[in-house]
Amino acid sequence: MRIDRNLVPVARSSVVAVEVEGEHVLYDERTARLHSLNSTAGLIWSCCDGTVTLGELVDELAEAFGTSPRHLREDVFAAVRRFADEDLLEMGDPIAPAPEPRSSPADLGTPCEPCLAKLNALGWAGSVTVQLGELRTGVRATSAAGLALLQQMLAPIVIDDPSAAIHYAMVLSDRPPGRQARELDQLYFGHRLVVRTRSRARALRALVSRLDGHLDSTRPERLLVGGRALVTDDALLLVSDDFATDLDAVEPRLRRLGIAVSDAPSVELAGGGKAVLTVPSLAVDQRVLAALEEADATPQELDQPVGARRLAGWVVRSRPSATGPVPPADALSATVATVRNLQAFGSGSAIELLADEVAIAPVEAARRAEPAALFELVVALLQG
Amino acid sequence: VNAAPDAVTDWSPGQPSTGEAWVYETSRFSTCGYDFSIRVMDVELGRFLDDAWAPTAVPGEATHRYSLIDRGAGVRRGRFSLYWDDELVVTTGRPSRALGMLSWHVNRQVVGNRGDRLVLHAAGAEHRGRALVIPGVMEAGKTTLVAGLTRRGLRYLTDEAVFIDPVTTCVRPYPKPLSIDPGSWTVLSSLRPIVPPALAPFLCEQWQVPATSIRDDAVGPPCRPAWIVATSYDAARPTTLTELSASDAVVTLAESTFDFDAAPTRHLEAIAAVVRGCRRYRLVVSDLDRACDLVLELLEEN
Repeated sequence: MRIDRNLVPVARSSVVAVEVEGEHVLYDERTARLHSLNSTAGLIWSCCDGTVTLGELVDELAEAFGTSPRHLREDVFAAVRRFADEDLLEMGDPIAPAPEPRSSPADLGTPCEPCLAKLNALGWAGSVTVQLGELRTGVRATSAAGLALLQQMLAPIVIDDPSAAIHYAMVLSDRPPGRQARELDQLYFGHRLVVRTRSRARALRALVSRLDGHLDSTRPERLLVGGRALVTDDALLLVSDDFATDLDAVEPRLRRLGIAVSDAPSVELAGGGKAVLTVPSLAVDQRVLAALEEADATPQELDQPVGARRLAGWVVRSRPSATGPVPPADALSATVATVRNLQAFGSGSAIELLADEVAIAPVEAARRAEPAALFELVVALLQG
Repeated sequence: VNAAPDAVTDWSPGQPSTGEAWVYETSRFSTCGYDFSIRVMDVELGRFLDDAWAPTAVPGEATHRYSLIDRGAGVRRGRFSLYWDDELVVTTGRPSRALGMLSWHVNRQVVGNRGDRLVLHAAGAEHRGRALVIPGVMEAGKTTLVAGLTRRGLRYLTDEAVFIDPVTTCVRPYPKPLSIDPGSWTVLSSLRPIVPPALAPFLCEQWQVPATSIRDDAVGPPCRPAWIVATSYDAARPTTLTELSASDAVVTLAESTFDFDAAPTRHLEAIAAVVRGCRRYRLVVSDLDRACDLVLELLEEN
C-alpha cells in the first residue's frame, strides 16, 4: 500500500478496537492478533474511518494540537505505515493482488553445507515443482524412473516453474517389479534425512505427508503437530525428526512389539490427552502409491486413518546433559515448536491446549545416536 | 469409555485385588457453577480431599461424581483409574498423576461452565474488599506469589482461574487447593501438607494445599478488582515492580483469557472495563519475600 497524502485509510472491518485511558488495543479477527497502540497511534487509528485523506488528517491534527503540519507528518505517516504493515487497513485497490509465492518452507532451517554438498554430488535426473497454497517447492530425484513416478503421483499439483527452489530430494532405486531393492530409498528435506526405507511407497508417502504438512500451516480448525508418530492400538507417541536414523535402526524391533511408525505425519491434538493421526488431504494420484505397495508388498497400516489414541507424550532432542523428563516450561516451548499451524489455529489457543496436554502427557529428552536407549524410552512411554 | 463401577469388585479387566467397595465419599463441592463429589477406596485419602476442597463444600447431593479406583499395590501398571461419572479420565500407575488429573479435570469443567463470564488464566487474592488479579503464563509463579501473599495476610481467591462478571466486573472466588510445584517447595516449605505416610505418594509431584490450612479465614469473598500485577519468574533478574500501560494491561489480560477468540469483542470490552478500574503493574520475581513486600506496599498505598 502506497502511503501518501492522497491515501484514504480505512480500518478493516475484522478489526475490533477498545480504548482505555486514551490508549487503544486492536484485535484482528482474521489473524487473531492483538495490537497495543499508544495514545498518539490510537488517535490516528480512530481517524482511519474512510472519510479523510492522510493529508487532511495531518492538517486537522496540526490544527487541533496547535503545531505545524510538517511537524506531525512523519508521525502520522509512520503510524499509518505500521497499520498497513500489520495488515489492519483495507486495501485501496478493490482487487487485491495475489500473494507472492513463498520461496521456502518456514521450517527449512539453516542448511548443513557438507551434508548438502554430499547430496548434491549424487547424480540427479531432474526435478518437479509443486504448488502448495502460496508455497512453490521442487522435488528432485536421482533416476529417470523415480522422476516419472513423482510426476505421475504429483500430477494434480505439479506446475511449470523450473525456477522454484528445490527443498526435497528423493533417492529412489530402480528395481524390477516384485524384487527387493539393493539400496535403500531415501527422502531428504533440505539436508535432513526424513526417511530411509526399502519401500518406494513408504518414501513417497512420507513425501506426500511432508508436502501436506506445509498446507497444515493454513488450517485453522485443528491443532496439528509434526514429527514421527509411533502408534499402538491405544497410544500415540510423537518423536522429533532428529531421531530419524535412530528410529530406522530400531524399527524392526518396534514392529515386533506391535508398534507402527509413521514417518512424517500430521497429528491432531484432540485435547484431554488424546491424539489422532490425520491422513494427508493433498491431491495426489493414489493409484501410483497403491501400485507400488502391491509391487513391493508394503504394509499399509499407517496410511489409513486410525482413531483417537492416548497421547503417550513427546520425545525431543536433549540439551547436552539433560536427558529425562523435560521441565514444564521447557516442555511447553519444545512442544510449541512442533506445531504446524500455530498462526492459523491461534497461538494463544494452541499454547493453552498444549499446556493442558503437557500436563497430562510426558515430554522426555533423549540423546541422538543412542538407539537402544531410545527404544527403551519409547516402549516405556507407549506402555504408559 | 467404560462405566464406572458401583463396587470395585465389579471391575472385571485387570485385577480388582482388594475386593473392597467404596469406603469414602467426600462432601459435595460447589464452585463457579460446577459441583461434584469424590469417592475413594481409602478413608485417609477421602479425608484429605475433603480438607483440600473444604472452602467449596456445600450441603446436598452432587451433580457429578469422581471415582478414584485403587487396584492395590500388587498391580504395577494402571493401578489407579479416575472416572468422571461413567467416563474414564485416566488410568495410571502413579497416584500423584491421578490426583493431578482430578485437579486438571475440575479446572476444565469449571472453566467450561463459565457461561458469559470472563475467565482469566490468573491467580487472585482479596485485600480490604478489593481484588488483586495476577495474570501470568504457565510457570510464571502465580501460585507461588498468591500463596506467599495469602501467608502474609491477603485472602485467597484462586491460583488458576479468575472469574469476572462482565457487567459488574466482580471477581468470583474459585478457591481450589493451591497446586504447588516442586520448584516452590523450598520457599513455601511451611505449607507442606502433613499427611499420613500412605498418602505421601499422592503428593510427591505436586502439593495440594487448601488455603484454609494457612488460616481459617484465608479465603476471600467476591469483590471487584483494583490491581493487576502481571507476574513472571526470572531467577537471573532482581525482583522489580513497574507500571504497566493501560493498553499493555489489556493485551496481557486478553492473552490470559480462556477462549478469547470465541467472543473477542465481548471479551475485549469486559477486559477494558476491568483495566479502567485497576492500577496496573508488571512484576518480575526472583525473590518471593521481596515480591510480597513490593505488592503489599503497593496495596497499602491505595
